[in-house]
Amino acid sequence: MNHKDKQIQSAVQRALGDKGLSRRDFLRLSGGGALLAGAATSGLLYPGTARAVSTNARIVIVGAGAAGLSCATRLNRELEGAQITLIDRREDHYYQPGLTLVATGVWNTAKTLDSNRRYVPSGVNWIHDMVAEYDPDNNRVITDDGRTVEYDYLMVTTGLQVNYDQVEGMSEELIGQRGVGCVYDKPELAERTWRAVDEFVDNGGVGLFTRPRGDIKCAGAPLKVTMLTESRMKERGTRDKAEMHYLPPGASLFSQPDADDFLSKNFPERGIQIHWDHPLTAIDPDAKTATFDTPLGDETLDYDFIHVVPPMSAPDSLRESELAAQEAPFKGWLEVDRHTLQHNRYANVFGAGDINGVPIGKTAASVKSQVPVAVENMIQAIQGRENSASYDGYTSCPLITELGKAILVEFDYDLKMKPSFPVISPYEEHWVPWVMKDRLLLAAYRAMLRGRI
Amino acid sequence: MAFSFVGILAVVLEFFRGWFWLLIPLIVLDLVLLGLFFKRTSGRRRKFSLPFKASIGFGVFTFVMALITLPGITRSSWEMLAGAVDYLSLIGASVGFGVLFAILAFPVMLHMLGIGPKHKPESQATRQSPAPETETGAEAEPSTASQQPQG
Ligand SMILES: Cc1cc2nc3c(=O)[nH]c(=O)nc-3n(C[C@H](O)[C@H](O)[C@H](O)COP(=O)(O)OP(=O)(O)OC[C@H]3O[C@@H](n4cnc5c(N)ncnc54)[C@H](O)[C@@H]3O)c2cc1C
Repeated sequence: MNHKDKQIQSAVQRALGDKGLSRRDFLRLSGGGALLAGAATSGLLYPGTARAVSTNARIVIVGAGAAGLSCATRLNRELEGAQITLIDRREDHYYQPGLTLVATGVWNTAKTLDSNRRYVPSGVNWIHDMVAEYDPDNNRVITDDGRTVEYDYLMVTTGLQVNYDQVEGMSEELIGQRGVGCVYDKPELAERTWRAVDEFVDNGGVGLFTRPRGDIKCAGAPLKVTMLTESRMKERGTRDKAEMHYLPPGASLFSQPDADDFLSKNFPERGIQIHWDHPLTAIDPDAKTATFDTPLGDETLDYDFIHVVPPMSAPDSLRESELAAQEAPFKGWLEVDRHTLQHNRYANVFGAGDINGVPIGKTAASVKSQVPVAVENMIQAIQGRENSASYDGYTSCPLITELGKAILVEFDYDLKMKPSFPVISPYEEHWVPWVMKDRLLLAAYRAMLRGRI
Repeated sequence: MAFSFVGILAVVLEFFRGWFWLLIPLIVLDLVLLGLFFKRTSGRRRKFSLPFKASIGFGVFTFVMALITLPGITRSSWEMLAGAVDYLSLIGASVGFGVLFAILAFPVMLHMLGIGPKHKPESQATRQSPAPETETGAEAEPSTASQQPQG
């Protein structure tokens, strides 16, 4: 120890002495601090049980989106010895809840782009391919490349597919051109939508905002695009140049009654005309006309800008398989029990995310609630036990009403409001939910992918 | 959907993950500055009161600036704030920024304002006339002459 070190040591000891602490106390306290810091940044942050169930089960997860990655992380953490395989060709990961902000020029595309590789846990075997066929009677799936993958337990997390071809005249290529926009479901398409929205915001004209029949992911997205476009016009002082129409397929705007009441009053107040029972069937991009299947017959309207939301369904491979529900109301979607998320006919099959045939909940917020339930029940099944976890239908939508404010709507199967933060009223517009949507939910989403919430 | 404390911590960590490139060097710099301060001041008097007050001042300034600018920075505006939740959140966030910046500024302030005169050897101290007492008892800078060996 040189002279300077001795000086420092005696200075530290003097300082500790002044505070009535011994060197031993100091070391103990700093050790505690280091432990806390370690805990905060290491695996100790994982909530839930610290158990690891031993098994040699072969688990296949189909789809590496929000639900698939989240399931992979949790299963990998909670099972020891399991052989976990994840199947998805997609390398990029899209933060889809950010697409409404991209399509209205609030965010740039880069903010929604990520890589699946960052979230696939080591120890999970990732097959870069798509499942083309499900064979649940023989516990196997067959991929596009003809590979057969056998499993003991299957987790289906494929999300859904957007069926552009179900709107006559519509195609993915059209998006961003000739006044056609569509916020679903890739960052590149949302960016092209912003081009069309931007032009409409500047030039005005007639704007049509549509919504299809049937289940879609984030039912709030078409509403948010409408309201944000209107807000952009007010911001640029061009609102008077535009006529705005919202055309839902039925007689309501939103499934949760209080939010529906609010929107049904708010839209006309801000000059957005609602045309009930107007599902879009066709567009003619050259003539700039759109046709709707109304109770009084087909109705064709002119537009300068149209936001097309095509009908959505389970991906073809699942929809045409034995795993799909054969009857309404969830025909074509994965047939699971709405609470346990276990398949009704194949006890070793579970589902999470948009693919599930459940009454509500095609949102990332639902994924956050569904994944722990589906994973927990699969682990119970592996151990030969009864299902112990139950999903209550939780879903959430930060309904952006204007640039800078939103309503945080959270509800369950009973359509009752279930605010996570009771101090934030789910009935009023606030700045806080806007900040959450704009700044915090991406962090929450990533924490979910890492299985931490 | 209730968030557990650990869940909130995980989200906060994830939120700051994108800022680690800035935060970690800043924290390291602050720790180095603190270490250097103790090294530089061994055998000298350390003045904590003035740097502390200056850091608080800096924190208060940051708090006021945050209060004024946060709605705009979040692409919103003051008109969008409605009800106690929004105002209390704004105040809370501004206080958070104020405290953070005050903490980050403290080591810098220590270097600028916290280095006092050298301790006098016992023999000198008894021969010297006592320096006038200040609020902290250590902040009056003795004259250069009084620091010279009295020989
Ligand atoms: C514009 C928009 C706005 C939204 N806003 C919100 C919001 O504000 N709040 C909110 O909570 N949610 C929102 N969502 C919904 C949310 O993004 C989805 O509900 C969520 O991503 C669903 O997760 P998932 O894992 O089920 O599906 P996805 O995340 O879509 O992932 C499905 C994965 O499965 C893969 N896959 C598909 N078929 C196969 C196959 N045959 N074989 C292998 N892999 C396959 C796909 O490649 C994909 O990677 C929004 C969505 C959109 C599009």
